[in-house]
Amino acid sequence: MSLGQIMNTGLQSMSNAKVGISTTSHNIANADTEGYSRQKIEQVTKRPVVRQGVTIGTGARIKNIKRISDDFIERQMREDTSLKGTSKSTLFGFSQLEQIFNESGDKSVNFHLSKFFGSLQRLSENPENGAIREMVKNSAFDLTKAFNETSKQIVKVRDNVDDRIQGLVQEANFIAKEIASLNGSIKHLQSLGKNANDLVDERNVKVKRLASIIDIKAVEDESGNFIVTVATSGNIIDNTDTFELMAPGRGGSIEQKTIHLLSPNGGEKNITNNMASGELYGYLDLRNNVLQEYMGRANEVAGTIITEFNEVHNQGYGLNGKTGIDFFQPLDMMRDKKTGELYYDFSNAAEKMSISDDIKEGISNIAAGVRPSAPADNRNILDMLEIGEKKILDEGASTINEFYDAIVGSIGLGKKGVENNLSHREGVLAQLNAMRESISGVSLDEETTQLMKYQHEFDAAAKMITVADELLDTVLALKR
Amino acid sequence: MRVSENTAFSKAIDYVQKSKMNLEKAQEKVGSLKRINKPSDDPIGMVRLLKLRAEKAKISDMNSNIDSARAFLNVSDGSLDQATEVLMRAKELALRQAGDVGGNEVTRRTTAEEVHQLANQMLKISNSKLGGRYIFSGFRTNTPAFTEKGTYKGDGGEIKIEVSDKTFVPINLPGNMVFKGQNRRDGEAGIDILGTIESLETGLVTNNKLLIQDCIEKFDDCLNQVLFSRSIIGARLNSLDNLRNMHAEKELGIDELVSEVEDADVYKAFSDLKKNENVLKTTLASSSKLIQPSLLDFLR
Repeated sequence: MSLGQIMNTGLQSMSNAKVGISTTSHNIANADTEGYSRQKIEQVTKRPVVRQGVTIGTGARIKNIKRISDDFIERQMREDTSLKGTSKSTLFGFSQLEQIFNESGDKSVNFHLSKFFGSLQRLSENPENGAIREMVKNSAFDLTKAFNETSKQIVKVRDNVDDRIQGLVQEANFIAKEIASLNGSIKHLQSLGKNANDLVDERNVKVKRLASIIDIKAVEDESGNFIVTVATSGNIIDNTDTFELMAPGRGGSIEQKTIHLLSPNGGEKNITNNMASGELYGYLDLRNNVLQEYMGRANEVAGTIITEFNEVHNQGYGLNGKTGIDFFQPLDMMRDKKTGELYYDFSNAAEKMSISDDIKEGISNIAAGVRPSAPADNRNILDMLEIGEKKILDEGASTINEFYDAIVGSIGLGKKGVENNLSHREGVLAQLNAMRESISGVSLDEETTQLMKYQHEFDAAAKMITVADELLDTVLALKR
Repeated sequence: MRVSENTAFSKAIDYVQKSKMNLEKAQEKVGSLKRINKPSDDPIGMVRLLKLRAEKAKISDMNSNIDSARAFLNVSDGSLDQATEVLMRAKELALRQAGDVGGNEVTRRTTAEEVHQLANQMLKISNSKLGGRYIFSGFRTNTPAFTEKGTYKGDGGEIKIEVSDKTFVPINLPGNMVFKGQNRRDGEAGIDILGTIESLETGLVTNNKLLIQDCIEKFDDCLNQVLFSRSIIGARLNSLDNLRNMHAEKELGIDELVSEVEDADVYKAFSDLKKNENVLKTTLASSSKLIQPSLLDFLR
């Protein structure tokens, strides 16, 4: 063992400590970086030498700088981020619906419905009174406006959701490209035998964001290819290649929105029904099912009011002796393709609802009586009032009011459920994040300790060189 | 378990966030003093609330209907009160002129003048109006109930309005029943009031004692018929009063239920607010403790 060898060991040791310090400072600098996993040097003993039959150690070298992380937690977090994404978009929809069907304001359908029936009660006391007839007309007009507004608001939410879907699809495609490009860099570095710790962290953050948008599975095969499948339908990322998601067409009234994935052979695949979670899935479900359902219910109420009132109103006589008058503008008739029966088309009833031209033009056309030239005859009004009491909706299970109230209740329940779900998901994610942080997170106290350790190591190694130097001096002095 | 800086900080933020959210909720309750501010606060309660509100609106509609019914019936009753007076006077005159003691050809002729006035008065009563509506014309409220010759021009219709849930009350009495005695519901044969006064006038003008005497008995029937009509009105007014009281009670009950469903318990709301305030303060204090110390504080 030569003195030079001792000096070399010391030098190596100093350099090891320096790498340790730089890793520690890297950790400290990134303590607050999203998705950063702390790094640690892996130090191993160098191969010993054998001198005069004795095995002598030659110090230590740094084998690697390791990223401390747990892939299982990482995967789990992706899944829960996806589920949280679903709840987030669903909550958006229900919050909007809750405002549209808000019953406290004086814009609500319920409020105007009760005003309308109230005005009919007034008219039943005094059917020949022009002022009260005017009031009935106005309250009916307000009611139709409230329905129009409800329908308009739902369409507005749907357009908004459509925009968000487009935005998310673009974002997903963009992120996919970023991940693919990271894949290239990571593979390249690894092929050179270098570590790509920071790039892997960055990729994990991006994959998590992608998972929040749409449900994905990410795997790395033996040869280091990183592959991401989307909605169990096909690859969106295959190492450095990406396949675009598409959401064709915007707006439209009834048609369902779909999401397509380009396939490697150039075709495209409709993956809408394979999606199970993620913000995109939440918005699609909202658009294709939830909004459609409440729009349908609003149409059901509006259509029923229009047809029931017209039927009764047609039988009565106005102050002017006219009969067969529609109160509301009648809906279009459709013919059932199978049975050939005629029926009213309710599909846009809330949007189209309006009072009839006859009523608009003359309040004396309001048919209060069941006989002509009997101005105080209120019997047709009483028949109209009875519509409010009859169970004509929900296959004979609810009155107009009950049916409408049920809509409000169901939206409330829906929102409450989603809120609970979201807070549950957030709890789970917080838990997972705590687990992730406990493994990969940077602790400043720990890093400070490491820093001092490496500093002492550096000092000791330097001392070793000084000692070796003094020894050399001593050896050289022997000659004199 | 390792505790990283991020764990500590994000936990602290989490706790503060949570207690702030609770504080906000408590504040909303105290601010509105309502437990339900939107459907999702309590969906089931909200639906109940909507139903109760609708019931209350209906009651207020019904009360307003009761008011108009009362007005209509009271005016009818007033008119019939006048009719009674006219008939009493006519009977009195008939009694006086029926024999030879109080009456002779001359007095009868002058009395006929007065009876003619009474007939006019009765016609006017039978054509009474409320707010421009002829109250005895049935559904034809725009037409006087009787012509000058005493022919009924109404249609005998009964204007029914809803005065309580599914309870309907007619607010008018048809003139042909009241003044002509047609379609009396008690099955008694009715009498033509207008005609009776007229025949008294004829009796007086023609100095026909027999006819005058005949009228005396008929006036009793007339008075009875008016009384019968008034008893119908009285019964309706009475039941309207009862309904009114019932509604007042029901309304109180509904108010109570609404408050039970909707209102926040004031004491609880305020104590919750105070509690949440304290929780937030404690959380802030403990968070600052959690974040503060670091190894660096102890190194020179």
